[in-house]
Amino acid sequence: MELSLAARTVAEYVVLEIGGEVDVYTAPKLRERLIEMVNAGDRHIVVDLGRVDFLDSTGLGVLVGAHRRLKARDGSLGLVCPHERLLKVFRITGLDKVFDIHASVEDATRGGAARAARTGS
Amino acid sequence: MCLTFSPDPAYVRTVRMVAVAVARRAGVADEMLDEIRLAIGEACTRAVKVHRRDGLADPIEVTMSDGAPDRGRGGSGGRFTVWVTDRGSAEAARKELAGGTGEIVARATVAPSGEDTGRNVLDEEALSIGVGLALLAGLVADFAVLDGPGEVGTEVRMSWPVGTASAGAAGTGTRPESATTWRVRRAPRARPGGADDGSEGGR
Repeated sequence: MELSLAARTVAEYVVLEIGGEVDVYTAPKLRERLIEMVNAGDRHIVVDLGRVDFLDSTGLGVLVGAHRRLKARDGSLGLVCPHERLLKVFRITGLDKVFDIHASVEDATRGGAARAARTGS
Repeated sequence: MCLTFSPDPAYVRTVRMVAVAVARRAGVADEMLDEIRLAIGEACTRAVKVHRRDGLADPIEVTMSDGAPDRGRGGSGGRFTVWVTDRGSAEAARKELAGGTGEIVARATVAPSGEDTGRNVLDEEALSIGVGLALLAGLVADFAVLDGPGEVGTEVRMSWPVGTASAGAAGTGTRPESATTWRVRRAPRARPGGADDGSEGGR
């Protein structure tokens, strides 16, 4: 597997740090992990893409799925994406307007989960 | 060069790596290699998903022309040209293209109804097939979706300039004989860098 996943808690958030390549082969592992987290009761999740080398449309599909699941439960999904080459993928697909994208984990977790639930559309 | 692979997600990474190596060897500028890696990966991923959706075990074909003068498939001098050919439903591909990016955003913002453990996996798979073509249309300046050989399947053709980045004004690949090119609805946002060699894309 060219994918690593590590979760940690920051205030009311669970930060899932992803490393490696998210593609059609590795994305199911990410999908399963996010579903497990939501089923375990995590409601405010921040996905940190800072160590991601490659992200394709399959990865976007998984993030969209997590976003929808969390919204349906009054939760929020934040993304940390400091790299232009990944941001480009979100912009081209118009998903930069759907996701709450931050430059750092500190930015994504600032202000508390209540704020995230209100504005994380 | 030409390679074929079984419609298995595990092979897509290998094809990406080979494609970048071939592009580099052809003399494509380093700053374009990330785009090529994403675009070829995206085209192959789409082909794998289309074959899985349609229950096809047939291999997917990837042909790369290194920019040398025409090799009989519409590649032309000065361009690194790639064709990714699947055998899936052409009708479904037309619908994907017609959807454009608006469809993706619309579906992304609709919350799922009812319990969804696993149920949305298929939904996400279908969604990301659509995202793939929209992403390619927005990412690659010279991008076309053609009918596959013998009117079966779909052929995604993309090309990039060989040489320095400023060589983008060089002629783009001519279209394969008698192929039907579908109109691609581009993402509303122009690609960074503006109008370089984009005049050929999306015809």
